[in-house]
Formats: sequence, C-alpha cells, structure tokens
Amino acid sequence: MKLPVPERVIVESAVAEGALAATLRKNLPSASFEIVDAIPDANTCDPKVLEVVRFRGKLLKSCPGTRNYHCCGYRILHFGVQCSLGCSYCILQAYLNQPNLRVFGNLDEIFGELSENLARDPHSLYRIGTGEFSDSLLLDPLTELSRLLVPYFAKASNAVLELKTKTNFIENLEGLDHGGHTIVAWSLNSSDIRKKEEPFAATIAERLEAARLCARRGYFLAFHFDPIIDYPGWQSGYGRTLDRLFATVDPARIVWISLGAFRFMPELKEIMRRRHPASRIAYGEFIPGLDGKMRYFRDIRAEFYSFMIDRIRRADPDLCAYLCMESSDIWKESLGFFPDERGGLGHMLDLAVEKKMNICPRSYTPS
Amino acid sequence: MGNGAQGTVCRIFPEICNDRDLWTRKIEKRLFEPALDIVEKAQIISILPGLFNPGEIPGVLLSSLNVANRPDILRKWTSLSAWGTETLEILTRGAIAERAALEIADWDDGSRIAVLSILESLRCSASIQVEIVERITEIALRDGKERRAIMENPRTRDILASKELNHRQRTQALRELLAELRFPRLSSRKKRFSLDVESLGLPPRVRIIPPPAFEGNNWKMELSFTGVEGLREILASAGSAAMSGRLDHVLEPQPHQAKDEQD
Repeated sequence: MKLPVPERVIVESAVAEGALAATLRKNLPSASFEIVDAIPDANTCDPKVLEVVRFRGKLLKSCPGTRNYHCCGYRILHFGVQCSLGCSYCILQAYLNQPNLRVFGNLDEIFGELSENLARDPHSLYRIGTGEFSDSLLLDPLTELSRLLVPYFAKASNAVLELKTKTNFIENLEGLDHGGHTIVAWSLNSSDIRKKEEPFAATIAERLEAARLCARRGYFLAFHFDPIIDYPGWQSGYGRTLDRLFATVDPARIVWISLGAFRFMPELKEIMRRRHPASRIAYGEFIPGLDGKMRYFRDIRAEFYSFMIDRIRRADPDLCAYLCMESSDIWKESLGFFPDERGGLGHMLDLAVEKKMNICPRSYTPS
Repeated sequence: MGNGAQGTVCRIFPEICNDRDLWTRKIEKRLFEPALDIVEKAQIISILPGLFNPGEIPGVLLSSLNVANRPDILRKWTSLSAWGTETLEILTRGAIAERAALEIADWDDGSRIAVLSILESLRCSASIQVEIVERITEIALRDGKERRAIMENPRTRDILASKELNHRQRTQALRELLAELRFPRLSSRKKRFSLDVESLGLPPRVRIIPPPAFEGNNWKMELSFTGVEGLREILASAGSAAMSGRLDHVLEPQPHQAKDEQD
C-alpha cells in the first residue's frame, strides 16, 4: 500500500527541537517545515499536511467502555489523532475540528506518563494499545515511533503493547528487541468490504503476509474483525478471510481475536452519506443501542458472532476469542457463556497474555 | 378621484446601483413582512451564492432566514427553487414541511412528484413526513432501486387507495409497512414474539413488553386490574405461566446453531 507523504509539516515551537521533529525532518527531506506557536483547529482537511503538537491532555487513557456492554479494559496510549486511510465507517471523520493528521511531539512526556502509570501498580497487567485515535503503524515509516515503543515495553514487566493497524508498514519492527511484550494486531474484514469500504488500506493478503513476517520475527499477533458488516454473502466473505488467516498464521502465535459488529454514533450516518455516497453500509438494520450508538439488531449480531466463533474454534478450540462491547445476552447466545462467569473480560484477556506470552505480573517482585 | 389606490411611493434606483445592494434591500424588506413561504425562501437562498461571499452567507443571511447552516444546505435550497411550477405550487400550499422538502430536494422528478402527492394526501406532521421520506430513501439505496419503485409497491398502493382507512390510519399503515421493509429481521422477530406470547395463554390483562428493539434485558410486565381480588387472580395466573418454564423460550436467548455458509 502507499505511504502518505506529507508535503508540509507544521510543528508547534514547544516540540520543534524534540526527537520526533528531528526524525520527521530526516524522513521527509522534501517537505516544508513550518514552526508556529500553536496549531489552531481547522475546518477542512488538508491531506498534504502533518501537524506536530505538544499534547497537553491525558496521554494514557482507559478504553471508553460503557455500562451495558462488556469492555476489554484496554488502555490507550494517545500518540496522535486522525488517519488518512479514509475508511467509510471510521469514527475519526466526526472529529471535525481536527481533520488533519496530527502526532504528539512531546515524547518525553508520553514515556514519563507511561512509566509513572506502570510503576503505580506493578502487580497489575497493563494491556496498552496505540490504535484508538489513529492507525498504530500508518505513520511509523515517518515517525519511527515503534523503534522507541517496542524496546520500552520489552523492559516493562507488567505491560504489553498492542499495535493495531490496517497497513503492512512493519519494516521498523525488524531487528527490535521486543522481549515478547509486543502484539502486532491487524484489523481484518472480508475482501468485499475491504475493497468497498477500506480502499486505501492494505489488502487482506498484504496484511496477512505482514502478520506472517511478524510472527517469524517472534512477535505475538492479534486480529480484530471489527467492524463486521452485514451484506449479502457475508458468511462466505468472512469465512474466507478466516480460512486465509489460519492458512497463513500459526494459531499458537495469536493471543486473541476480537469480534465487533459495526456500530456508530448517530451523527456519523450523515457524514458517511456525504463523504462516501456509494457506501451502503449505513442502511443496515441498525437500532439505537443502550450506549446511544447505532447497532445492528441483536439477532443479526448474534448470528455474525456464532458463525465466526464456530469457525475460530474449528481452527483452535483454545484460542481466546472475545466480543468487543457486547451485552451478556449476546455473549451467552454466541459463545455459550458471559465474561462475568470467567472473572470478567479484562481477566480473560490477562489470562490469554499469561498463557500465550508468559507474562504474569501477579508473580512479579519489584526490586 | 375614483376607486383604487390613492397613490404609491416609488423608489427609483440609478443604473449604477449594483445587484448586491438591491437584493440586500429587497431581502431585508421582505424579512420584516409576513413570514416567507418555503418557495420564496428557496428563491432568495438560491440567489445568495451569486451575490455574496461564501463567508457572509451562513452567519448573516441564513440565520436571518432561520435556516440552519448545514453542509450542502445552499445546494439543497437551490435545487428546491429549480423545481417545476407544479411541484412548487404544492409547496406553496404548505402540503409539505420544509425539512421534508429539503430531504427530497435531490430526488429524481418522478419520485419527487410521487412522494409529494402521498404526503399531501396523508396530511401528517413534519417529523412523520421526514420519517417517511428517509425510509423510502434508505430502502431504495439499500436495495439498489428507484425511490418511486418503493412507492409503487402494490402494498403501498393498497394502503394509499384504501377507502376504509382515514388519513391518520393510512399514515400509520404506511409507516408500519415502511418499517417492515426497512427492518425486516426486527419486524419478523416482533411478529414471532407476539405469537409466542399469545401461545403462553396469559390473562388478557397481562402484557409482556420486550426491551426496545429487543436490545438488552430490560423486560417489563404490565398488569391492569380493578381491585385486590382481580390483582390476586392475575398474579396467580401470570405466576404459574412464569414458573411453568414456557416463558424461557420467549425471553431467554437460545444458543445459536452455527451453520456452514450457503455458498
């Protein structure tokens, strides 16, 4: 897939001398760099611009779960905002006041906050990811952030890093000392949906090939079928992607697979209609969920999950598969149990890390 | 002096006066007169882009006309002002609400004429009009059909032509039909649920109400009674239905039978 190459980099003066700005200058020799005091919010997206700011908010956040649906309890390392992959269903399109690609240049503060948090509770496992407000690896060839994060987590005895991506930009991961603490994760979909709704992301074949290479380099893997989308022939489409996944990657390297049916904030519908007029996915059978988001009618979700879980269990009955933001009744119907029966979803995922990655902070004694 | 006007004040503007100034005066004057109808509003808004800078339009002009500044709004009003005389007359008669008119601004002529005639005959509220046009659009886009085909569906025609139903009942029947077409799986679940509850043989004054769209676990039971004795009877009867296990099938999700894909 094609790397976005910004032609203009706007840098806030507070981070202009930092390591990130220096790396960007090295990797973008033909881009113009402009230093400003503060980057104001913008109304329109300029795809040629990359913004480097000093982010002043919380850099490590909890996953924004809601009361009525089971949340994985993952933590988000906030390193930037926006994505240029342009997937039709992406919630980032609704971030209207910050439409440009933006990364945070205050790396010292990011790592400082991370260390402070990890030291606070050395006996808890921190599952931390960077792929919530952006794609974890989309800008990595330019920022080389993975070269800092992966070795950092290798030394963090009570944390694992999950890099979630729809790209195949894994070059920087080669040769890093990951210490078995980094999970490289791909968002997967059926090929039909990939072509129509994720046209600028890597193909499924490219993603799976990248996963295979990462596994060969000793990384653990994860996969997220999210959003699962209803369309005529979805069983065949998603079934084929699962077949290709298990034909390419040894299930023993996979820490977890998550499943999430398409859901969206109501305001996204109008944005999708305007920006992606050819997309039909907003016209599925969506009903208002208990968290205010639009969700497929429950029977449709249960059917998706039951089908996928059955196929995953056929490949590896012990593989940790979970539902992202789903209710107990859907869990019960699709998996035969709900998370509270097994100590909660967070606990289930901690156990998967312990079992597959052999990381167990409960038994760790700080020196 | 005979009948008729006593006289009139004429204001003559010199030739050098520009269109922008003339239109500004005309719009300002018109705004202080009785409320504009939808066609007048459309005609004024369609002129704005040619006379004013894009920056001036939303803040000053649209807000004076009580028009929310939404993406595409100028284009929609401009398309609306370009409709044919016949459809503009329907708008002038107030047969269709402004919000619904904007929703159908981009429709093809045939579909627009068809929906205007339906909405005029139903005489329903603005929010129901918007619901109807949105449902038609979404069903048509989802199924790759023309909007007109949804309105020409035999079931739609039967409802609209029914002599037994008044306009309120026709509106309700059309809304139910469009809901069924738009949400087929949910509709069939609702029907199945009604049949299942019926088969429980609960007393007629007991209702089981599922969570909205069957989402979540917040089920309700509604009892109506006239006295203590009546309440005791209903509770006993509802209680025995609940204890019999027949409710499990209605309320509890059954583990899904995984099926191989069809193709």
